[in-house]
Formats: sequence, structure tokens, C-alpha cells
Amino acid sequence: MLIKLTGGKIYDPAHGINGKVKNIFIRDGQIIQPPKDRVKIDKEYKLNGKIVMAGAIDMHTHIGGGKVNLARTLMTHEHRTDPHQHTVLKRSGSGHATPDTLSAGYRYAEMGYTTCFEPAMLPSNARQSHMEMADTPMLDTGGYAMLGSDDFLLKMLSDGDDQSAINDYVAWTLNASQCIGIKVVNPGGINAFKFNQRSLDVDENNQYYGVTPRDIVRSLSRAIQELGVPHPLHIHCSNLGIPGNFESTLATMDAAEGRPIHLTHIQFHSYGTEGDRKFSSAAAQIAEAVNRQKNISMDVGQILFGQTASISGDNMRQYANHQHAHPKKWICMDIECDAGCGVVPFRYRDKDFVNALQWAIGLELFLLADDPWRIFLTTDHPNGAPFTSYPHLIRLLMDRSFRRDMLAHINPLAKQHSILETLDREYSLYEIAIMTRAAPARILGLKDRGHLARGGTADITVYDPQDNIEAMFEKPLYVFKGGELVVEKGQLKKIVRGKTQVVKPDYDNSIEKKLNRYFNRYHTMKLSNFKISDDEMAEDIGSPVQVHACKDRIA
Amino acid sequence: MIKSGQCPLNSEGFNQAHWANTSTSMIQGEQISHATAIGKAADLLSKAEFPLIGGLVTDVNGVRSAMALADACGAIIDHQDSQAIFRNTRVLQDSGWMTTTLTEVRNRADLVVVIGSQVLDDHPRFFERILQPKPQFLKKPRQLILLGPWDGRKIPTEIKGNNTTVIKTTMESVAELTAALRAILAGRPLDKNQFAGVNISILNDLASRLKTSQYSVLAWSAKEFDTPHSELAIEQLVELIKDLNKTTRSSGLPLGGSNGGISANQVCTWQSGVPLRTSFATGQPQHDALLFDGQRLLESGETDLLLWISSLRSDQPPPDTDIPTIAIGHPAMQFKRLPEIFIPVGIPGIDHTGHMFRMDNVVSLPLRKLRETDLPATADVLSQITARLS
Repeated sequence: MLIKLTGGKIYDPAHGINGKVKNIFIRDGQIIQPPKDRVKIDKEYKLNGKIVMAGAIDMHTHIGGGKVNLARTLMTHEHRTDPHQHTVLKRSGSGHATPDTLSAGYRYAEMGYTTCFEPAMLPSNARQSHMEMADTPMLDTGGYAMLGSDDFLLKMLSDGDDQSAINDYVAWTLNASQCIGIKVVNPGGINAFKFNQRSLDVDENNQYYGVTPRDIVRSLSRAIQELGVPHPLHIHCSNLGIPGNFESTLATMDAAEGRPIHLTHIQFHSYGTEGDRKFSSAAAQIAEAVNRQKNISMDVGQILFGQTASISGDNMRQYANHQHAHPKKWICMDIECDAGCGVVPFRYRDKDFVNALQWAIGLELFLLADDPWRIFLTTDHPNGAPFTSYPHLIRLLMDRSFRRDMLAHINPLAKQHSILETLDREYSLYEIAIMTRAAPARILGLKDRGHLARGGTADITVYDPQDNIEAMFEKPLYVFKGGELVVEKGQLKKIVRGKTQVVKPDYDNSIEKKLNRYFNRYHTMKLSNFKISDDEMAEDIGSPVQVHACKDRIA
Repeated sequence: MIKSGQCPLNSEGFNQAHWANTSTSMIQGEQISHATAIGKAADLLSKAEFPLIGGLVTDVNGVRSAMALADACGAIIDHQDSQAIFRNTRVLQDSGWMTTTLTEVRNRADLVVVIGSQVLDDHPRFFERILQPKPQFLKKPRQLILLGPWDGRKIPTEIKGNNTTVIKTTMESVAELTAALRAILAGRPLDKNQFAGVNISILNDLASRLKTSQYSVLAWSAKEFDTPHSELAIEQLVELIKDLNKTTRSSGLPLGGSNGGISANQVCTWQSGVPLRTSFATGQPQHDALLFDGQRLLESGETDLLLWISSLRSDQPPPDTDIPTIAIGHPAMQFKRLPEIFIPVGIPGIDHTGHMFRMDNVVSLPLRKLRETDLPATADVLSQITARLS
């Protein structure tokens, strides 16, 4: 089957193409070079100036795993008021902030997203995460395995084990949990909370192990680099949500010692202590530091006003934040000497000083960051807002007058405390294509997507230009997944299933012997049951793996 | 020859796998072809007004397919043991909680309060696998408190000893005792010398031990809370744990499901957004823990067709009911009454691979295939029925 997309305006930043009119040819699910003249076209879509981008990639969205299922249960009251009717194609479902897996897949596809990554996969709960994502249709998925509060790594660091052994453990974890990256959440802090420490700054010791968050960030970022894993260490910094935490964020940048790192939902880590309320924006300091240090990328974790639920591995901070729960119910868990989780429902209000300033800080970060290749569009779904609000967020970035209208409605004191009014920048379509396609693919090492050139998977989104950019991004004209038309005019046309995106860095098998002894001595499951095989992924979990290349291991 | 591990529940499952098996479908006891049975089952489901998909004694993939079928035919879905699950789930839904998992308990808990006396019956290896091994983070021996109806019940020798304290009480009294503990910890004056028959000095001592321990764990089996409004007792425990965390660490270990109940509830929640006891009759999930209790629906006669799934064990047949029943089950299923349709299926973990969730709701374990049979998997049979619905 040869498909031709004729006359679309192409936005393909990976190849420097900014709105040029070009034809795209698809065969067997892949983008191919223009064939010779006489080849029969099986299906042609005449696009006449419609906007064409690669399928969007969400590099940080909590869509599957034990903590998401706990959040769904905690949010039963919301799910009751928001059921989704089944149709000939779609299964039924429920929920807005914490939708069921099927609804999440449908809705992402209807917005032109084709690949999503669950950023907080506990290795001990990886199987469930993969099962939930296998039940999230329409999308290719992947996960970042959480390390850094697991007792095994902290003991290695405390014992002064060689970096090469730590590299082996990191590589083993990526293989065993079928993940594409490593995330560290409140480095060492989840573990410290189990020993009743209530806070942990970057240079503070975990009291049991005598290891600091700086040690953990240094060691894990080095492991990722030395193993040749494409995605830099994905870091949820220390002291989430605390006024003045921007200093911890700067210290975390420093801890990487120039190695590549990615700082996630940085909005929650860009707070100062100025002003009458001792809560202020430190977006300028953070943006300046990231602009200057090319080894660092970030995603924003924008908040948008309304009810949501925050879902995090950071149970130390979630416990501290439970007093803000709305409604007043919340969950904290310690999990398997591996990590933990916390679920706290939130309602962000535009008239609330703190919430309004959080909103402004996120937008300031977007507008002050000078390299769209190193900043990503996220709401940390559902923590800042559900992913369904992305079109609204894109409009806030692209439409200055709309942004100012919104700014006029927020808490006036927060407005005074923000420089947002003075920021004139408007993102271009090309920059949005970078942030939501080209850059996430590049930073994750996904060579086959996020672009529109030969050899790319035919994950393609076509938009009908409109004055209201939010409406345009909300309902694409066409979405192709692997070359198949799956969405037309924002409506689902075909259900497809995705694959799990993974990396498989090499490791010395002696680490497994050490782990096996540790598991037998302290764990409650066998190491052999901890590991997830490729066959299990394909046959029982229902999402076969697709392996992406690592660079050569150097140590 | 298949050999089981050391878990008595597990061994029972293995024994049942050796019993006389059938791989032939039946309609009212008469052998028929598999395809006919599938067609007939689809026919009955299509015609039913308010079908119930019950039992759900199966693996994750079995439940995944049962969910698709429920959505397609507008059924209610529930697990046979959800009574116990919902004692916990309703607390989770209404107030949230602080909990932990088995490996944390094993390595970190310096004080474990086991509420009830049946934890060992329901989870036979809990003491041996979790509480007895040497913990990673403790220098002193772990303290164990057995709080429950131990009156007239022999305490197993392996858990007796210097570090074990027994507080005898009834399950009905747990809420009152927990409330008293919370009041003591909050420094409130109490006007009684005993609560539910337990002397205040014992409660003072327990409160002080909870407060001074590094990481206490309160474990309960919801199944044993077979008392009116037991969710209120569980909520008291959950709030006690939250109180303790203001100064030290404490976690709950809510033990729920049996016969695959946890797996069923997990899958139902991620696929529909709401837990078990959900109706798809209107084409969208409607969850109501009281209204869509499968057992209640059978007793009240509100449901007109039962599709019973039980592939893990042969001794969990469909309940005796007057309404037409389709049984998808263990090849050696022991029926009380012959169902309209019986489709024998493979046993997860023996005849095919699969997954089950562990008692702590977090870890899911892979099940292996151990023998060759011609029995289809539950998931496949349910998908075939879904495909045949008119």
C-alpha cells in the first residue's frame, strides 16, 4: 500500500524544514523517498496547505502503574461524574485527571500524540506498568525505571563500590524492567523518609547510608553516560514544592558535573522566598542556568487551573503536601525496598496566590528558555494538569493576547509578583514542533520517530489551520499511526496497539550473582521473577519490545 | 511430574490439576463442540437483560478479556470474594491511607501488630517468609503483637516467644480499641479503665510502643473483618497510622483478596477507571459497591444470567442459583448443579502462562506453563465469545 500526502506544509525541525510545501510518501508503515513517476498511488490525501508534523511524543506522563491505579481508586468520586460511553470502536471508560488506560490512549491519539513515556516505573512494579500501558491502545509506550532510593544502590554507594559495578546494576535494571531510561526521584529522599527523615537537601546525608543526593546524581548521571544510554538521567530534584527550592535545583545541576541530565517538571522546583508571602518566582535564575549549561534539558510540568490528582514517587514530599489535599484524602506508600509513591488530589485555583504564581512560573520558564530543543511541553500529567489541556497550553505559548487575557484573571498579587506581563515572546509552530516531536525523539534516542524523513515510522499528524490555535491542536484533521489512518477530524477511525520502547545496554553478568544473593537474603520475590523477558512482554503482557540503540559502553 | 512449592494453598491448586479432567464443552451435561458452546454462550449473553460476570477466579489476562466482554454485552462485573476487598477499598476511596509492602515489612518493621487471628490461615507463609527472616535494618529482634480473637485459639508455636505479645479481643472491638489508642496518643483524658475488655494499662503500653518504634506495621486481613460496618474499624486503623506518622514511621499492610481477587480488582480499575462491582449496562462504567455486589444481585434475583469464571481452582464452582449459568472453568470443576453451558479451560500457571498479583497489591508475578494440554486459556474463550456477540 502506497500512500501519498500531497501538498502539506511540513514542519520537520529534525531536518530544518519550517513550513515548506512537500509531499510525503508512506509504504509499509514507513516514510519513504518519493517513488518513481509511474508507481501507482493506492491512496492520496490532498492536504493543500494543511499543517503536517510528526506524531507528537509525550516524554513525561503518568499513564500506567500501581500509583496511577491507586489514584483512580482515590478519585472514584470524579470517575462517577465523568463516564465515557462506549462506541462501535471504543471501549467505555471513566475519569478526567486519572482516566482508565483505554480512554487515555484514545484521547492522546485524538490529539495527535503517538508515543508516550511513563516516567516513574518502580522496577518492582514494572510488570503492572507495562500491562497497563499495553492496555493503552493507539500509542507506543515506554518507561523510565526509578533508581536512587533503592536500598541496593544506596548500599553500593555507601560501600564505595566501583563505578563500573554501578554501571552494571543500572544496565541490569534497564534490561530487567524493560525500560528506556533511568529516573531518580528526590534522590535518596524516598529512602530517607523510610528512616523517618522528613527532608533531604542536595548535600545532606541519608542518615542510614551516609550518602547525599549529590552523590546519587553524580553516580547515576555518570552511569548513564558511560553505558551509552541515549536519554540523560531524568531527575526529579530534591525539595519539590518548597519555597526557596531553586537553590537545590541549581545544586543538582552542579552535581551532574557537566554530564547530560534532564530536569523534570522544573516548574515545581523554581520557587524563591521573596515578597510578603515568602513565595516567589525563581524562573529567571533557573532559565538562565539552563540556557548557559548545554548539558541540561528540562520539561516544565505546567500547572493549569482546575481539579487534578498529583501522583508521584516522591512520598517524602507528597506526605508533606497532604495538608493541601483537595478533597481531603491522600495515599502514601513505601514499596519493596525499591521506592515509594504518594497520591494527593489537588485543585489549582486561579484566585489563589500560590497556585496563580505557580501557573505564571511555568509560563515564565517556557518564555525565558532560549533553546526549544532543551525544553519540553509537559504538565507532568496529571500532576500539573491532565494531558488533555495541552492544546490550551500551546495557545498560551503561541498567542500573547490570549495569555494576557488569562493573566488578567489570576490572583492580582501573583500577577504583580510575576514578570509574565512583560514577556512578549510567542512560540512559532516550528518551535512547538521541536518541543513536542523532534526534541523528545532526539533526547530519548528514538531515531525512527519525531521526524518526517525517509526511514521514519509513519506516525504523522495533520492539522487544519485555524485562528484559534487551541482548537487546531485539539482536533487534528488526520492522525496516522504506523502508516494507518487512525483519526480523522478528531474522531477515532481505527484501534491499533503499540510497542514498548526500550534500550538494552550491556552489563557484566556478575552483578546478577550479587543481586541474586541480595534478593535471596532480603527480598520476598525471586530475582528470576523480578526480570521481565521479551517473550513475556510480547505474549503475556501484550506489548512487544522495540529496542533502540545505545552508544558503545565506555566504562 | 508437576511439583508444587511449599505453600499449602498452592499445593491444593496443584493437587486439583491432577484430578480427572475434561477438555470437552457441555450443554446441560451433554458433550458438544467448542464452537457450539461459544456460539450458545454468546447467544445467551446477547439475549440477557442484566447478565453478571462473576467468579473471576482467574489470571490477569482472563480478567482483561472478561472486562472486554462485560463492556460488549452490558454486564455487571464482580469477583466472588470482593466482599473482603471492598472493606479495604471503601476506606481507600473515602480517606486514602499509608501502606507498605512485604519486602519493607520483612526488612524494616521493628513492631508488627497483626489484627485478627486468621492471617495465618489466609496467608499461610506470612510468618515464615516475612516476619521470621533476619531483617536488613534492625539490630534488635522484631516485636510482634497479636491483637484479635485468640481466646480459645492456639497460637502457633513458631510465633510464640519473648517478643510476642497477645492482646485477646474480638473483631467487633477493634474499632473501639483503636479509637482508644488514638485518644491516648493524642493525650486526651479517658474516663474508663478498660475498653472492650482490655485494660487501659495494656493500651497505654501498646500506644507507647507504637510511638517509640521506628517503623511499625499494622497488618489486617479484610476477610476476617466480617462484622457490620467493618470499614469504619479499618478506617480507625488507617487514621491511627496517619496519627503515628506525625512523629515516627508507621504503615498499614491491608491484606485483601483471595482466589485472584486482587488481580481482578486491579485490572478492572485500570481498564474502566473504577473498581469491581461495576455495571456496563448503560454502555459506560457505573460503579456502586452496594448496588452491584454480585452476590446480592444473585440473591435478589435482579440478574438473569450468570457467566461464572473459575479457572484457578476446581472447588470454586458457580453458586447454586436458578438462573441460567455459563461456567468457564477448571477442567475438574466440581458442580453443585450442572450449568447450562460448561467450557473447560486451562489452569493458569499449569496449562498456560499468565500473571497474578501478590497479596500486597503491588507485585505481580509471572505464572509458567508446566504441561501440554488442549485446553484453551480463559482469556481466549472469553475473546471468542465477545467476537460472536450479535
